[in-house]
Formats: sequence, C-alpha cells, structure tokens
Amino acid sequence: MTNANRLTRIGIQSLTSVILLVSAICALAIVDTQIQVFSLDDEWPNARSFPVLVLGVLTLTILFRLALNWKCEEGPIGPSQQMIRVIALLLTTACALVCIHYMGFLVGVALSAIVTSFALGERRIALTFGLGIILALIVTFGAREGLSIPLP
Amino acid sequence: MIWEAFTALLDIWVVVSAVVGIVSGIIIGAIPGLGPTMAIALLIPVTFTMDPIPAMILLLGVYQGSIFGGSISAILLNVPGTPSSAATAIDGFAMAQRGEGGRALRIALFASVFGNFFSCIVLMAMAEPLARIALDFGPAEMANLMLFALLVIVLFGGGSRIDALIMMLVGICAGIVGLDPISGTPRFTFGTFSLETGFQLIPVLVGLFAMSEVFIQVFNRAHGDTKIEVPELRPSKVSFLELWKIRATLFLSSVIGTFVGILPGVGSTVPAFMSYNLARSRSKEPKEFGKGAVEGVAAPEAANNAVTGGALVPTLALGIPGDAVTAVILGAFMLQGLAPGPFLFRDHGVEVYAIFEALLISSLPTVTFGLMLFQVAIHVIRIKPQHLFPTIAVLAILGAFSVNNSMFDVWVMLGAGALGFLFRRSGFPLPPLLIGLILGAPFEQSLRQALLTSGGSVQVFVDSPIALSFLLLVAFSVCVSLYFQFKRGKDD
Repeated sequence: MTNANRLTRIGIQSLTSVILLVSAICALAIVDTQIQVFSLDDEWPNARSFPVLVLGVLTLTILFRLALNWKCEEGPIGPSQQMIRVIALLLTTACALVCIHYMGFLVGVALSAIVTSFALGERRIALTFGLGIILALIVTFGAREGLSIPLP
Repeated sequence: MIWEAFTALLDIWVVVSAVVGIVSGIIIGAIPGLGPTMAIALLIPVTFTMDPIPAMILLLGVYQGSIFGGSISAILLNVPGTPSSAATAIDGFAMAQRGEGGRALRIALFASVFGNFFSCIVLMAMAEPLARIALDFGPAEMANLMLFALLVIVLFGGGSRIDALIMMLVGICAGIVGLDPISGTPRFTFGTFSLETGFQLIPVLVGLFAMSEVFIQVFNRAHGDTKIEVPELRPSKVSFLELWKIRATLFLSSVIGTFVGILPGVGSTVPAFMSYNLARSRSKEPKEFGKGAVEGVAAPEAANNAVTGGALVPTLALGIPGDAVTAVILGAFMLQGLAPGPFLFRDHGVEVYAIFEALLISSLPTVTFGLMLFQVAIHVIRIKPQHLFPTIAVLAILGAFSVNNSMFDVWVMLGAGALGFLFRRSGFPLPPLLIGLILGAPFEQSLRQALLTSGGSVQVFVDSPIALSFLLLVAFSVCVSLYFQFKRGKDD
C-alpha cells in the first residue's frame, strides 16, 4: 500500500464531519440573531422552529456518525501536493472572478481557462494560452450575441 | 389536447432542438466523468431565449442521449461514461475485446431506444392521473409525501444511510437561507440583499456537479500522457431476429427500469444491475454472462434508459425529483415557467404533452444518430482532460451567471464546487443534498401550514386517509430497510 492510499484513524471523512459539525453548532448559536421572531409571528411553529429542528438533528447525526466511526480506519486527506494544486486552482479561479468585476467577462474566463488547463498538466504555453483565449472568445461572443446575456 | 400538443411539435425549432439535444447528449455521455447531470446543467443557459417546448425537448434529448452515450465508453474502454453504464461494461467490453464492439454498441443502442420508448408510454399514462390525485392533497398530505420522498432517498439511495441523511439535512439547511416562506422574515442572510432570495438551484448544482469535477480531475491528475487504446470497430449488423430472441429481456428490463425509476433516490444504476441479474438468472446459458453475452448488454441498457421516463413521473406530477438528473430537469422546467407539480398538467397541459410526444417520437432520430455517432464519440473520448475541463470551468461560470445575470451566483457556484469536491473526496453522496435543497422549503411550508391550521396539533398528519397512508409507507420503508440491513449483517 502506498503512502497516498494508507488508511488513517482520522481521515477526510472525519475532517468533513467536523467542519459540518462546527458549522451546524455555529448556525445554532446565531439562530436568534439571524432569524428574528416578532410578536405577530410567535405562534408555534414560527420562522425559527424548523431551522432549529433541522440544525439540531444535523448536529446529533454528525455526532452519532463521529462516535460510530471513532475506531474505524478512514481514507487519507490526500497527498499535500495534490491538495495544494486544488486549493491553488480554487484561489486563482476566485481571482479570475474578481477580474470579471474589473476587466470584464472575457478576461476573467480566459484567465480561468488558462489556469485550469495549466493545473491539469498542460505545459505547452502556446496551447495553454491559445486554448484559453479562443474558448473565452467563443463563449463570450456566443453568450452575448447568440443568447443575449448581458455579460459584465 | 394530445392532437393540439402534436401540432405544437410541427415547428422547425422543435426538430432542431431534438436533434441537437440527442447528438450532444450522446457525445457528452460518452466522455467519462461527464454525466447527464452536468451536461444538462451546463446547457441550461442555451435554453433561456428559447420557447418552453423546444427548450425542454433539447434538455430531455440530452438526458436520453447521454444515458446511451455512457455505454459507448463502457463497451469500448471498460470505463463507464455514466455510473449506470457500469453493468453494460461487464459484457459489452468482453464483446469488444473479441472484436464485436460494433455489434455490442448496436445492441446497446436498440435496447436503449426500446427502454426509452416503453418508459415514455408509462410516463404519458401515469403522470397526469397522479397529478390529478395530488390536486386534492392538502398541506398535511404534501408534508407526509415529502417526508416519505426524503426518507426513501436516505434509505434506498445506496451507500451509507447516515452519510445520506447528513447530506440531506445539509441540503435542507441550505434551503433555509433567504426569506421565510410564510412570514417573510430574513433567515441567515447576514444583512445582505443577495442572500434574501436564497441559494439558486442552478448555480448550486453547476458547482456541485461540474466545478467539483474540475477540482477532482486536478486532484487525480496523472503524470505524463496516457494514451487511450480504443478497439477497432469492424462493420457489423444486428438483425431483427436477434432482437426478437431477446424480447422478453428487453421487456422485463424496461419494466424494472421504469417502475424502480419512479421511486425517489434510486437512480439508474440499481435497476441496471437488477435487470442484469434477472437476465442472467433467466438465461439458458448463465455462464456466458461476463464473457460477452448479448443479453448482458441489452438488459442493463434497456433498464437504465427506461429510468428516464419513470423518474419523470414523480418529478412532473408531484414536483418531487427522484435523483440528481431529474432535479436539474425540475430546475430547468421552473426556469421556463413550467413549475412541476399537481398544477403543471392543468395549467400547461399542451406544453407537457408536446414534450412527452417529442420524447416518444425522438426514438427514431436516436437510432439514426446513434449509429452515425459511434466513430465521432470515439474521437471525443480521446480528448485530454487538460483540453476538456477548461471548457467545463468556463461554461460553469457562464451557466451560474446567466440565471440571474448576477456575479453573486457565480461565487455561490464556486463555493458549491469547493464543497462538492470535499464531499466527493469524503464519499458523502451529493444527490441527497440536492434533493434536500429542492424539497426542504416546500416541506417546511407544508409542515407549518398544516400545523398552523390545526392550531399546533400534530393530529392533522394522521387525520386524513391519504396522509395516514404516507406515514404507513414511511414506517414500511424503515422496516424494509432495517430488514435488509439485518439480513446483510447476518450473511456477512
């Protein structure tokens, strides 16, 4: 078994469960400030009842899952190099979306296509840039002229 | 109404939509990693400026085409284009290895068309009467029905039930964001106007299914060029007599696909394997299965294509999607102003029947284009991920933006993509999340309306025979699920 595939006690499933658990608890903690119930709406069930119920059940279910799988082996989070690649793509795509705000849709999506192609292993510069720019041109003009979408 | 609907189909744009839908569906479905869900989600923006009938025919053509397209890579490469084609790969690839790839593809195509045709007839026969019954449902009946649908997805959707339950609850939580359906109070909007309309379905599902696939591809990127070897396709024919010999397999598999497809959450993979096993148990030569049996290709293909019509029955008649693909189709119907549910047939009967008839008639172009597209699909399979997935990323951005012409939706799509990647890496199933997102808000609305009208008494959920029968179905489903779990535990 390779390092990448080795099973661990606390792996990606537990990590995801913990993230969801923390989110559910935080949501429960702020439910009173995020959902205001006025005197006219205080009859049960009100706007707050269902979210509290669902978040409560979600919290208990995740706790149950964590307890149930406490001694089970799980899949690893993954080799750091591969995770870094995904996080880098996520961040550069976010930058491309910011570029759409300032430089327009064409530049933003061209950047996104170039970065995705590079992240997937394309190292021929002409092909990486050429593909990204042609793709962005086709999609932008097709959407603007053909589908009448008011792109930024 | 049927004749009126037929005349609505006599339009060049309807024909063009059907052909474009089927052709693009077959090609997209053939590419491993691109399933019907992603294909339909990415093509939704194309339909914005179209009339409802051609728009829906285009998307449903993609659905039909991509289910068959999935079998092309399954048969030729042993890599199922869609999960439901996994059963087809068992005997299809064995046939391809002994030089009968062309024959296997033809059998798969004819079986697909048969399954499709059968399920469309069932869809036409069942959807409208079911919708008419649902017109009499009050809030309590609707709440119980949705509880049943949500529970079935968790219990019978396959995989870990607890993970499915968590995902369904996450989906319901995501659906809570926005204005309260009854009092209009903002919920978890953090004071922002953009969140008041909640998370839109299309950006979320484009993120979950398309953008997350881009991240998965980047994560699993292989070093160096991997050359795809496709077996040679020799000229071959399938005679009517050969198809006649497997008529019982085709019929039984179509019945399984259609009626199992009606159940929410089951999807098309389970019926495909059920049909495969049934065909093997009925066969006079069961040992041939796995070595290239014709019925081993025909049975799963007829079943997984028959699911298309079956899954549309609850989606259109009750507004309850059975799986991720029908959830996307439900979203597309809503964007066209055709809100699925009991009122759909009453308010838009002509449009819906025109779409049904088009699905039925489109079996003919599916055969024609399917036969023509084998070679094209082989070339498409060879496209490298580094050239294909940038296109997916760009189309995902466009698709998310075009729903409301809002950059906020694009950010939602990117966030959903990151979460989708995390969930898929962790083995958490995505369809329950999507179904939870869709059904969460109407479930809460029905639940609260029922409780408010009864003054907070839960007695309202057992008062009417219909509501009670749904609760009994819930109890029955739990018992069946527990029984199977107990039996599996005993067998292990």
